[in-house]
Amino acid sequence: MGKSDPRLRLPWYAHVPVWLYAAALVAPLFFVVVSAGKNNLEIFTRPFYLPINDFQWSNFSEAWTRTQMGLALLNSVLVVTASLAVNLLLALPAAYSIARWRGRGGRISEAIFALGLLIPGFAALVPTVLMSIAVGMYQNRGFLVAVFAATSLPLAVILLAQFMRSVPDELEESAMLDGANRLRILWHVYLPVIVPGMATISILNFLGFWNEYLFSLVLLGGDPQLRTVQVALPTLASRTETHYGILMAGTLISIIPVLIVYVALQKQIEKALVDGAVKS
Amino acid sequence: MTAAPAGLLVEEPVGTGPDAPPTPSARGWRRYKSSTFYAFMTPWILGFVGLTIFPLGFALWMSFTNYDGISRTSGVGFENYTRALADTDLHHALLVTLGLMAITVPLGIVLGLALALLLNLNLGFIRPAYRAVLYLPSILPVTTGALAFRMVFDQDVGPVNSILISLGLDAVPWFQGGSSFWMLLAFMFWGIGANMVISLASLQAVPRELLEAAVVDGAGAFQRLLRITLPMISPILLFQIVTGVISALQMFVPAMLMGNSNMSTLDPTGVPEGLQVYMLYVYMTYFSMGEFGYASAMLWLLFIVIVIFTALVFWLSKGRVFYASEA
Repeated sequence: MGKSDPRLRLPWYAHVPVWLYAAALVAPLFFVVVSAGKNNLEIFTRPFYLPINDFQWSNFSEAWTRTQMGLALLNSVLVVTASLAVNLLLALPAAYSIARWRGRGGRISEAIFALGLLIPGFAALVPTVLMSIAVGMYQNRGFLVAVFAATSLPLAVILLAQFMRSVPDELEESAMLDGANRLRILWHVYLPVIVPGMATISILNFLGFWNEYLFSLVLLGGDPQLRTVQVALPTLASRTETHYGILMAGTLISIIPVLIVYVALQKQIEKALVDGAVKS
Repeated sequence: MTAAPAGLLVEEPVGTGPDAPPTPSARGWRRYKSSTFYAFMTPWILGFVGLTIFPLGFALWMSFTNYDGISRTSGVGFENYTRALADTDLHHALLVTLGLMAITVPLGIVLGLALALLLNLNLGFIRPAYRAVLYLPSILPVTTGALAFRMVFDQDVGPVNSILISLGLDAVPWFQGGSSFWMLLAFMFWGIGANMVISLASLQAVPRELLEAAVVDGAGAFQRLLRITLPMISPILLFQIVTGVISALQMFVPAMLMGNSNMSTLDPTGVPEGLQVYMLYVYMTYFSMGEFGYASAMLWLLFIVIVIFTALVFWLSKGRVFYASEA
């Protein structure tokens, strides 16, 4: 930034409110982390104390076994991975059609996709549950995958279509003259160009699917064999035995995958969020 | 750009539109058969119809019946809708929800923009740290946030009450009665990082030359903000208002997680009144009471409210939002 930068330099005291705000944002996470190694008495009497010497490792093993966390993590990984894959597989051809089809159908389809972005997801919750029962797929992870993949399609298709429009027509035409069919063109000409778009969608979807609570809870009916991490975790909190150390240990375990992804991909996550907002 | 219409306004390259005269590059598309198009679109159309349109239509049908999954179903006309209009519990839930929207949407956007303006300055080495910290809560799962808030503000063992007591004050029952509304509000502001990141990206797209020219003309910082920056980013602000209104009106999972004493069941009973938002009431009518018809009617009433508010926002923003393509 040069000397002519019209943006201001900030006096130090202007940072104070931001520090306070940032501290307020971090405080709940701070208490999650330090409380994970304490018992209830210590959480209350010494909230800021860092339990270094008497760290309650048993909180973590308790949280792990009580929620059957291993199974829940496996379920989450399965559901999220399958949903990401199905979503991209369905979105690619649809986005290609919309980006390249000049007929009336392309416009109409894109309009419907755009409308799909406005429909609140929760509205479909109960009818979806009834439908899953009707087709005999209640408490079935495959059905949850289908719901995840389908409900996130509008954004995926619109974003991918925008990336695909950047491929010059001539490139595709010459490929066609060489005798390539549509699927081969999609695979060899488009795929390399739209990798950033696919990354953006996968990041947004990963956060959305991994963090999703409601549909996972209702469609899987809380079955301990099938439930995801987000559904398993709140079962630790029940009226009769509120042991916050264990609850916080479980919470910490459950966000480790998200934290790893955040630390590794923070820039890309921010870009994905902006792309999702601006391009749609 | 805004959520839905922008998708419809993507510019068509000149000469390739359906009505344009054929150009050399358009020849290839002639060989693109409709059947290919529909083959590529079918999986999505099936998914969209099956998992979005059909459930919504089914809810609409249910709203005109006494459907409960058990007894014989019969049509009841508009009975569910008239019942909703007279339901005082629903009025309370709608008031809580509208109050939440009226506070979180404007404050969230202003605060997010203020933070974005700050991050857009010459902050040097501390900027990445600010960004990371301010954005982090908004990507965490809702369960994490709700559980953390329940622990921090717990009446008996929470650190906040522990600090209050050590200062000689009384412990506050944060999650009881009306005061739980403030918990919900605080939770909404926890995830403000998304507003910040979107605003920041739009700020960085404001052309430097414009701002520099204004400096030369003697415009102060506040004038530059008011006359250049705000008009330039107004489409993004509009986008945030629209999505903020829609998500605030249908928000209920945080309320359900923070208010439900026994989180392991599907049945969130005993939620304090400050957390009884509209969609939570709908959810309870479905799952705790099994009144599918009535709950569906409430759902469609909320739809109407959402559409009205969205239309209102667009109507009010007419002529006040600047689109670069019009300039």
